[in-house]
Amino acid sequence: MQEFLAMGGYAQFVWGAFGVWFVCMIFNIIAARRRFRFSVERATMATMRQQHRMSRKMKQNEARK
Amino acid sequence: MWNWFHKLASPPHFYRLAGIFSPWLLWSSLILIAIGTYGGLVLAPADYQQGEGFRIIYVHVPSSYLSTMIYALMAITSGIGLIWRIKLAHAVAASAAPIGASFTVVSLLTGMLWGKPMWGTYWEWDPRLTSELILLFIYFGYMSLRASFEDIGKADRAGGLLAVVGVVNLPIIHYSVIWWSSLHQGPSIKKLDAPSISGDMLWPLLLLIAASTLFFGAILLYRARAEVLDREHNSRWVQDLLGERPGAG
Repeated sequence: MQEFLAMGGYAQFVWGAFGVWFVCMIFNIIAARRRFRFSVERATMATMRQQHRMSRKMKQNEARK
Repeated sequence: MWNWFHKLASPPHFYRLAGIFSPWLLWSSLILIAIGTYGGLVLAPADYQQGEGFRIIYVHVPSSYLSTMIYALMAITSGIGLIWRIKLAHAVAASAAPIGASFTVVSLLTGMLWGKPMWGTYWEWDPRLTSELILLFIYFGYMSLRASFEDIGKADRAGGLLAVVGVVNLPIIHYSVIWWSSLHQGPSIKKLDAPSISGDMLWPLLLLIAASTLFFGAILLYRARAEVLDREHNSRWVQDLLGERPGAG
């Protein structure tokens, strides 16, 4: 195990490289999730505004009748 | 065929399909990456010249491959978006950029970590390294250009143009080790020749290249869904989707 971790004297370079790769994958997953949540939130707000407008219009129409 | 293509390019259909495929791609890629990493770190023998240090190629080659492949995809989808005015193509290009930039950073950093013990320096203004750095700047330029427009349609056109023009850098990266005398080694895997790398070193590398492509596919679909929502949030299908069950995706 010690020998494996030492990587024949290249430990900091090999583990550093795999570390960078690993961090990049985690970053991509988290960033994509955040991006998606943000868009869902924004689209939901737009939907709610739209529905609010529609229901107000319907009430106005009913009041006119 | 055309029918199928048109259906795929329709935003609601794409949104639904991408939502189904993305998690499958993600999990299968993570499992394959774990296997490939184990193969590269444990099973593959040490190199007779570079010792254990050669194992850096198992992350350096897939990330370098992704950095250029993603750019090529970005340029092609941008071209399709510009010529046929397909919004979904622009959405895919815009989604690919941050992923490509992140893997370009990994390619440069892992290359530097390999360069220090093997060449004796982290950085050299070598044609391959310099052209890869330029690729990173093109990614950043593309993303900041897009971000500078309020209107998505304008961002699509300006960014798309930049992506298409920037494609000239790809052959420069690819042939830099052949055209100029470069510190960087030539390719070890060629399509037609027998690879100049032994089988037990090769399979983890090929597996990691394939698995990281799947990983890219998963993240791309995930991000493209967000892009589609941004472009379509006033359309009927999004409101049906989000209005009935708020917060759900």
